[in-house]
Amino acid sequence: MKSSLLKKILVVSLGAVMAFSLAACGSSSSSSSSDSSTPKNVKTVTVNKAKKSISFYATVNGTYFTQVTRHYIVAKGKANADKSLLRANVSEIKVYNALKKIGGKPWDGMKVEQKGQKTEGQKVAVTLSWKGSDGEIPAAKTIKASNGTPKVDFRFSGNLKYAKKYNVGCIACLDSCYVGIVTNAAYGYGDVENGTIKTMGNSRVLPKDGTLVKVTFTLK
Amino acid sequence: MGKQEKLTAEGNAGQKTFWQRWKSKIILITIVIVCIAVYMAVPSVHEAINNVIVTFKNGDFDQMKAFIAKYGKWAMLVSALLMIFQSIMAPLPAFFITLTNANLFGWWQGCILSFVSSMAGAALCFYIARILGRDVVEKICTKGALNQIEVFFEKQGKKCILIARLLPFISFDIVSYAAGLTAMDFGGFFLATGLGQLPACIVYSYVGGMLTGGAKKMFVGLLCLFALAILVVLLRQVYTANEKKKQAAAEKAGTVYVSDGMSAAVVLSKFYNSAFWGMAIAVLCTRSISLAMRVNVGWIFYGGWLILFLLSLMFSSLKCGTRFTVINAVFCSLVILVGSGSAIMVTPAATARMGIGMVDAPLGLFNTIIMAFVAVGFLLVIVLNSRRKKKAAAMIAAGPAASSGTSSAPSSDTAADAADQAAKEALPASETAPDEQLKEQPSEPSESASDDAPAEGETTSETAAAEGDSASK
Repeated sequence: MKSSLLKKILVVSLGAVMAFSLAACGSSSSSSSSDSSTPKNVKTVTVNKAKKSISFYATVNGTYFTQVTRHYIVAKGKANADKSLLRANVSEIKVYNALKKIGGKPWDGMKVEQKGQKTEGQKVAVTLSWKGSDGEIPAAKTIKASNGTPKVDFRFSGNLKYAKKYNVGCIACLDSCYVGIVTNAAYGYGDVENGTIKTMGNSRVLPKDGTLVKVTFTLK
Repeated sequence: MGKQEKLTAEGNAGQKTFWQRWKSKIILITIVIVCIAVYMAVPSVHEAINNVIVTFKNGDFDQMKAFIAKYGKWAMLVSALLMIFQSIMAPLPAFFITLTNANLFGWWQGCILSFVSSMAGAALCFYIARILGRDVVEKICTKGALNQIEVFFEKQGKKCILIARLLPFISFDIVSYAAGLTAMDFGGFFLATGLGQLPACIVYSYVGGMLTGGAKKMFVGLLCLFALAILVVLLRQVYTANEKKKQAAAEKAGTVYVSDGMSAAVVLSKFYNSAFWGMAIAVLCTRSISLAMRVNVGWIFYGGWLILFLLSLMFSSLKCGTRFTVINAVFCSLVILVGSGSAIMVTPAATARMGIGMVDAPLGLFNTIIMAFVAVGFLLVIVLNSRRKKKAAAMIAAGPAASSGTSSAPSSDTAADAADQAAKEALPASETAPDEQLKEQPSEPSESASDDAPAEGETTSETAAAEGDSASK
């Protein structure tokens, strides 16, 4: 009696596992990350002095369509890269230098671990585009929050000193921060962590996990 | 009067003994308190130590190199202090600093520096343990664990220090502390440490001096894999030594001892079950926003898996049989399901992906790997455990003569219960020493109740035949 029960459990378990495996295989084939038309300048920062803008490429991390994160764009290979919505192909130092090259003035006023402090400095418009996107998509549309509508007010915070010191690769943060190069003045430092706003990627707007997107920073 | 003098003398002797006994501890504790006070009170010291911790935490060779290099002519001293610091406090592998030294000062200068400073660190750990004594360390790592290490030390002697020291990427602190608690003399410990440390230091410094970028990462990965393999071999040695001891005791008492087992079935079951625990813990960690944003949750999964697997190997009474595996898999799956919520097809795969840094690989690939692991692992656990039970039952029925020749025989959990009656009938000697028999036979009532429903069906006929054999004998 018990033997047959165990066999039944085994059969049902295996059936469920097979079903999940097939589903997983299906999602595997549908979430291919490669793009046949990969741009040549995928690992560089392109500077456009006339438009006062810079652009670089990054990859979408689908993990943060469902998990909360305050890391918007982080350089690949750095400590926080796997915790961000977009993994950039360029370093935070290159982005900082490029912003300065187009006339950006870093604020450099953020203090370490000061909860609630908001960044100031020059405004930066952040937009994304990808193959098949409807033109340049503002950053505000690419994020959502589980407890409200997130606001966006990106500033050139600077923070080169701390960026070098901590070497975590932060390029853009979804709240004010003393490490990110460009951070969000709409929220104070620690607001995402303490749950004031729980930001994450908007899967309805952003392309699927692994897609290469072009990020553009324009000084205002 | 004479009696009074004698008493006074005894009192003085007692006072002297007390001071002698506590002097070193008091000095050490005072030094620790002073160090903490300096850390708290002096901002520059506070900042410097915090910088060191951040550098260690990031695990970046280039950052570590830059950190040491900025001290200019004091760089060698700073590196030596770092090596000693990591020996005493930080649970980090020394090879991290060994490779950095080789990169910074050249291979042979780095080698000498790493060798001398790690020897100093090992000596310090040894004496800290010796001064603070067994009572403190027992509280930290439990009496049982300490006894087990001591058994291993007794059996392997200085060789075990030598083996561990040959691998500088293994955190040697624990071995040094444990050695300090044993009766091992400092000279022997120091010699074994030096002998083991020198060739490893030369090799890693030479190789480390030449490595850059991806090659360095691959080298580090291979070292870690090698370290893990050696660790498993060492655990196996400890286990085998204990098993032989138990077997000898059972033979002496005329009873049957069936090994609890490091058979393939038990090891695989533990490996399989600990994967579920690791994933459940990691998924729960993703629920904490601050933790998920500061820590690589993937490392929690792989680290938790590894640690729990190794811990489970140390507990021979935990056998992770078929029923346990089913219940554990269902329970952990529920935890993972609840922890992931609607992101069930994302969170576990993303965690596994994050842990190995394959950030560009599609999540679907990891979902497939996870599902394949769950399915294949489950089948293997069932098949191997079933075979294990049959063998164990047959072994018990065959009697002590058969079991004595196989010290690492397949283990028995539920089969022991199934065959228990047969064994008792077949072995009159076991009746004379029931305690030993009961002690050594794995007792897992909850598991046996279920597992053994099929097991009983399977083994009854075999054990009955065996019973018949032994009765005729």
